[in-house]
Amino acid sequence: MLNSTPDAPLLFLFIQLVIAVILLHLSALFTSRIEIPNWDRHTAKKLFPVVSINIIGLVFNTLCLREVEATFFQVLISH
Amino acid sequence: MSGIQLNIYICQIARGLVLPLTITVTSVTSHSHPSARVIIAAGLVTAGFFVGVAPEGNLPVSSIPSTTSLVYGVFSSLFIAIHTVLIKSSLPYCNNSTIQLAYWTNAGSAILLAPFVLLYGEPAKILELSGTPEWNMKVFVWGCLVTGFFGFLLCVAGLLSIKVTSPVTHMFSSVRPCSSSSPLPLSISYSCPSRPLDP
Repeated sequence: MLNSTPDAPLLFLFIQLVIAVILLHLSALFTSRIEIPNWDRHTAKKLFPVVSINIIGLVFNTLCLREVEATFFQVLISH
Repeated sequence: MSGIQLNIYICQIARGLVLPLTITVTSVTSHSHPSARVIIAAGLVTAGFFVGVAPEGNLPVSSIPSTTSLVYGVFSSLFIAIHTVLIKSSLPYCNNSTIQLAYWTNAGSAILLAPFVLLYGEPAKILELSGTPEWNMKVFVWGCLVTGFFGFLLCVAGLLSIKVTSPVTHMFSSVRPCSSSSPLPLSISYSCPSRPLDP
């Protein structure tokens, strides 16, 4: 069972982010309250810190969870 | 304690420093002193963290969270704390629109993450696995969709909460199991023995 577990935490995180973007685009079709921002270099530069810190935090979070999962399975195996 | 409970419990401890760290980052960036009560509360949480990670004599060695997971957890807490404080100061750049910031965050994070996904050869691992008989495409696709949907909701809710309150209030009010922002497919696939869905 464990062998069939995909070891691809970053890919899952990536898919999750892409789905969120797609959902935002979809909901923008139905309501004007959801505004998709226009690409603009100035804003991108200003937001770079918040975006990069966000992804670093999420990656550590994912790695933490994976490490804990690994420990947990060691417990399972050792008993 | 069932598997998932133990799991989230350990992860919560590892991430337990997020509140004290948010208070620290906030007071450093705004040059303000937190009140005595806030310091006491943060001190209690920090003490709880150390009690939580201290090895207990009656537990098997293998069930103690590994140092690596704790290091990851502490880093995760630190970056989440900085991120929360940065959100407040970044909102004006997108006309104070939570949705616009959510869009920038998700799209930007995906772009920044993409090279690393390729660097670690993860798509190749999935492709390889999809050729094996144990592969369950349905679980994979649904897992991804459900995670994406809740990730999106959590993202918007979190941003709204920070926008209308403060970073520290957000950390107090959001009882957010660490697993909720982590890849759900990972949990589902690991959970095959007998585990319900998180969070």
